[in-house]
Amino acid sequence: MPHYFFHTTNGSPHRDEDGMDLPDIDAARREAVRYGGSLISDDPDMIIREKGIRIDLVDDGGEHRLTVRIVIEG
Amino acid sequence: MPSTHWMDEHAKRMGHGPLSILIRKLLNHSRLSTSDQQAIAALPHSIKRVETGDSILREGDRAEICPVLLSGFVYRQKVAADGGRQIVALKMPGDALDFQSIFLHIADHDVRALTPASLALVPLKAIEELTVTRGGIARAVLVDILIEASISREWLLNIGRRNALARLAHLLCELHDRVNEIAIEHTGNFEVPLTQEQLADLLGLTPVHINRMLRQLEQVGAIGRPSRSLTILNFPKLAQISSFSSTYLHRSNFSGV
Repeated sequence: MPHYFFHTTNGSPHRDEDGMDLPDIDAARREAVRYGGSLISDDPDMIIREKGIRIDLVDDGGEHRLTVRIVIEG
Repeated sequence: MPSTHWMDEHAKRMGHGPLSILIRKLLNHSRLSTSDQQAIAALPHSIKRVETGDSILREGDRAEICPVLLSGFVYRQKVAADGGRQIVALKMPGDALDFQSIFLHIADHDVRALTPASLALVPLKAIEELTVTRGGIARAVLVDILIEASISREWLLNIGRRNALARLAHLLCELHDRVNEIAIEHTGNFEVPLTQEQLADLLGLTPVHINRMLRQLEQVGAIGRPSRSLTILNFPKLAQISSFSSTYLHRSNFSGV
């Protein structure tokens, strides 16, 4: 199974060193979006304070595959 | 893992054979007379080894035996139509895995081995007969079932209402307490036999989110992660993060006997 990494920047930065196996890139995209949703519901204060969060999906070849960007305005 | 010798140690100390660890577990919450203890020790049983991931009970099964966990860890799971699974209970050495089937005949969930484990397979009929003839044993079985229900309620609160960091810390506190309750010696830095995927399926988070929370707990020194395993280093810190109170585990529940 291919391996994917989910790094976050702004919000609270977290470099995902472990990553996880997922069946394919579609599953990895869904996982990235779900992770974003999970972070929003878990710590809304952090999201507001940092005016959002960004999740970057990287495959095991180091190639960037998707960005989830959550933006707070106002 | 320190769990492998627990069964033998309990058997040696109590002199009740392989089922000593079950008697020890029941004595943690209920009084049992010497003759009640002897009656449990004398239950017919056979010993079975299972490996990690092996199925012990399947949803839909009609159970005839109650496995008692002598060593290792197992979990209960339920699976949704789309394949998503939820781990709904963890069982420790000494736990009877299916008291429920004395009274409810069709299994409503799966039981699987989390680690290599050994089981004593006890005919349900034999346990039922003891509960009919011995009030103390009937009460201990009931209390055991009630405490599992209490733990399930706490897990509902945990998954429904605690944030991810407190949710993970709370689970680790519970496991620490429950292991120390049955272990012969204080287990010190207890190694938790759960992968990030299993923690995710238990806590209703994504594995990546679990990874992030583990990192945070590691940074404050609450846990260690030698070679990708998970070890509890600082219980008071975990208890503080999760506002842990062990009331729901109902230890020393001896009133009314």
